[in-house]
Amino acid sequence: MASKDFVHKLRALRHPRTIAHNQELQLMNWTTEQVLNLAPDAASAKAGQSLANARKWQTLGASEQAAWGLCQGSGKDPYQTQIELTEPAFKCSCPSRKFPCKHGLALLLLLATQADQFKEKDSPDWVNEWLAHRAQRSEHKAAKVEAAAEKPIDEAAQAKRAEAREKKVAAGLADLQLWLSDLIRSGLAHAQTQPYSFWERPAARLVDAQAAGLARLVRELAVIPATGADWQSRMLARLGALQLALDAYQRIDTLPTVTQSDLRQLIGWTINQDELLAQNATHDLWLVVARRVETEDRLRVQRSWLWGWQTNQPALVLHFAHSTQPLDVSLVPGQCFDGELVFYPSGYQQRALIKQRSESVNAPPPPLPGFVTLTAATEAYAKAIAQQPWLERFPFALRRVTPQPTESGWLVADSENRAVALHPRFAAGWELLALSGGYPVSLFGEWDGDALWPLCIQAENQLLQLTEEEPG
Amino acid sequence: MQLNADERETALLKAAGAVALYQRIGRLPVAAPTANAACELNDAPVINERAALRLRMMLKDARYQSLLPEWLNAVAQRGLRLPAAVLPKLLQLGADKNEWRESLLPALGARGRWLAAQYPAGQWVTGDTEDETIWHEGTREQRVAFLKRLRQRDATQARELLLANWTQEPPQERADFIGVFITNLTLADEPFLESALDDKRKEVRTQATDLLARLSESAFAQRMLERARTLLTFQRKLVGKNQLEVNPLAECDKAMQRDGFEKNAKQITAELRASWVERILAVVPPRFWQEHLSATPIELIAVSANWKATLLQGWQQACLRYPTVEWITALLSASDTRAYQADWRLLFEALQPSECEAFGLQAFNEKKLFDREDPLGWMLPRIATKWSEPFSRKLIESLAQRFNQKPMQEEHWWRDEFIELAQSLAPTVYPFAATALDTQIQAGHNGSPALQTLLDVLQFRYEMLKEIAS
Repeated sequence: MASKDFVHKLRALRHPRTIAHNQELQLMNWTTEQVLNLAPDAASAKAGQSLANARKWQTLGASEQAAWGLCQGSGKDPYQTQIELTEPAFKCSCPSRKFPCKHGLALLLLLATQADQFKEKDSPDWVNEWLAHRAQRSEHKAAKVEAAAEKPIDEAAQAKRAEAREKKVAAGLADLQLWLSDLIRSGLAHAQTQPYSFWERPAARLVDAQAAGLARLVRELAVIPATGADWQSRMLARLGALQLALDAYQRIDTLPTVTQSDLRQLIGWTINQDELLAQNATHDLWLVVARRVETEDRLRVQRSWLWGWQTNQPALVLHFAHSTQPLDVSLVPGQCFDGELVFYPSGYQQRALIKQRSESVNAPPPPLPGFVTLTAATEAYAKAIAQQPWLERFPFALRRVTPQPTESGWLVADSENRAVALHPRFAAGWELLALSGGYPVSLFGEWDGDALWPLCIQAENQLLQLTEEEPG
Repeated sequence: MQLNADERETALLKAAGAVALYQRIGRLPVAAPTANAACELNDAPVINERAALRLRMMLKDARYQSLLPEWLNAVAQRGLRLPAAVLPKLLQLGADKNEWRESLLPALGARGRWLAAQYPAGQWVTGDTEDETIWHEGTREQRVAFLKRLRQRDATQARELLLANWTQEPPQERADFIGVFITNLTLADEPFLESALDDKRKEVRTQATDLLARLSESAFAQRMLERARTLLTFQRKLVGKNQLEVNPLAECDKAMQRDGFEKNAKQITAELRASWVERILAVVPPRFWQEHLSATPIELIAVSANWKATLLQGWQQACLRYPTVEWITALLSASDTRAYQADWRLLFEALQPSECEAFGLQAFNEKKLFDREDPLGWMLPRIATKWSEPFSRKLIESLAQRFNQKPMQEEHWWRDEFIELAQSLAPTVYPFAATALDTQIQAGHNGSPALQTLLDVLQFRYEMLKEIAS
């Protein structure tokens, strides 16, 4: 149970409003670590740091709502950079396509470390214009959500569309079944010698059949033959999983409703976000625990893990960005907010959307309630799988584990002297060991059934992220 | 009943799928191996957050990475240590860069040393407590490194260890090992070094003579002094320049060859004789000449003599071996230093910073700063040393004035010089420098970007040291 002190602090937060700018708010205390975590890549972080020098800015100002500055660049006029502090949201007149650009990062870094340099108090026109524009946009958004909830549903047209899609998907899956059987018949060894197009073609066909989720799973098979020893078992396991999904779809009507939803989401049906937001939400005080960005093809997926203090449950918020598009930066690990989340329907609720939230606060969090032993953790995982067999990642909040280097890779061991392996591609093992000092630490990470990918460590009253720099 | 083809495949896949699912859920935690001991919790305080951020900047930016040793020394001086998360990276840095190890060690703290014991890249930290197996079984580089470290700790033991097997060592190894003796050199090493003069390998002999020369009480040094006594005669004149007569050695006997005098040619040429003169001058402490000839350094350097260039060359080498302030300043002030290959930089750096500054203030001509024609003005900004704050101020003032007078050519070339200068100036002079150089930077002429770079590096040093102290 969260400490009374902590809850009391969060209670002082304003009542949650729709995600929009707030009239009265307190300047949140940013740490430089958090600011740098917003950077889209290592080069931006570095550039931002070197610009975080008061000498390089002509004016610096901050109000309760926003911060702004003029930075001399290579052009004739200085760049106008501004930040709205609630989310945070950035805007800069420089030509960079990165988001947030180095000027935005530098401005926020300066605000975090040298707030006294922000001499101006009244925001200039160009800042006010932007803030007004943002307020207007979020009002539109809220209106749209309401409208979606109230829209009269054209039953007949909807049914027709749904039927057409079912037909398409069924055909696509039948296709996939044939491909799978062929693959097994020719043997896994044969699959190893195939070019990428061997996997890409059935994936493309699935996309055409509106089964994009399965298409992704098929594409992921392509790299397995190159993953080293015992790839055949891994390949067979994945193919078996595909087969089970196909079988389940054959008798989907006999499955419980939530499992049907899970299966459909796996195959590629998407839930309408506006409709979802109109559902009942879970109100709670949420802590952003950790964040992980992975790149699939040219799509970047950002997983933000949240923890609800009173409902005592985790939630996963997903954000997507294509190639060079910016990712959402409103969820910063270490921040807390008072808000309402709506969970996607599932046998094991995990993924959620943020319906409403207050501004964020940087309160040092008490220890995350987590599993005390690894056995308890894996048992919880087993239960979750029983409810949602296609669950890909399960959050492990481990109370007291110690990292250990071994010949074959890294392990974390609990107080019962049992250990699980860390993912072979996790590269911050030594940092983890250094942070623990050989003592048990609180660790949070993603469990995929085989290995743990640590995301953050709770030490010295802080959540220390174990982020690596993602390429590109 | 026979399953038809299709059903066989799907049956296999279904089974595989089911098994895989059970495997995933059923993966139990394994038994953990016995852990190493945890680290000591009683540790030095960590640097503050701003300093930690500064460290990250330095690690990522090649421009500032060379400032790391200075920063690390400041951290160690304050009794602070590095934050845990950055230790693996810095241990790796220490593994790659030998010259930074000394600065890194104190800042590691108990946590860093504990990590180094387990981290492969951290082996260099605990390398001190190694045993002699490296000496007996390691590669040449490992053995040299081992001997160096041992010599640092216990000079006698190092010598005895080397002597035990000296004659069996291959020639290249002998050459490497004898160089180690420069650390903690004492008269006790003399017997060994004297015997090394008979070594077959020239490199060994050369190093032996160099080391013996540094021991003023050694037999070698005495022999050299004997030869020196008859070498020069000083004639004081009332009018005109004083004269210095050189009596070069006529022959080179076996004893001389043993002591390092060359005798390659069949014929004894003038150049060969000159090299002998130079050699004697090079290994004799300059003070000897003052006493022997009853003249001051300035008088001696200003003489007119037959082999003036050789004399100056020899004296310069002597000054580098036995840094003596009066002689070095005399050499630097001499008007005909162009007569020989003056290595100004080495001479300067042989001086202590305070001596350098005293000389600099005396001879400083602001107009000549960065002037190719003036050796002092040319060399002063380039010297790798730590100037005091008053002197730094003077340098900055001169810099600002210098730009006023004449535009700087080849500004991109100056940028590197300015970066070096920025590392030699006292960091506390930054606020003064920012205002003093402001006009020049705003003027936007050729040298402005280089000046900006100088100011940037200086500011970085100023702030990084302030952060550690706060």
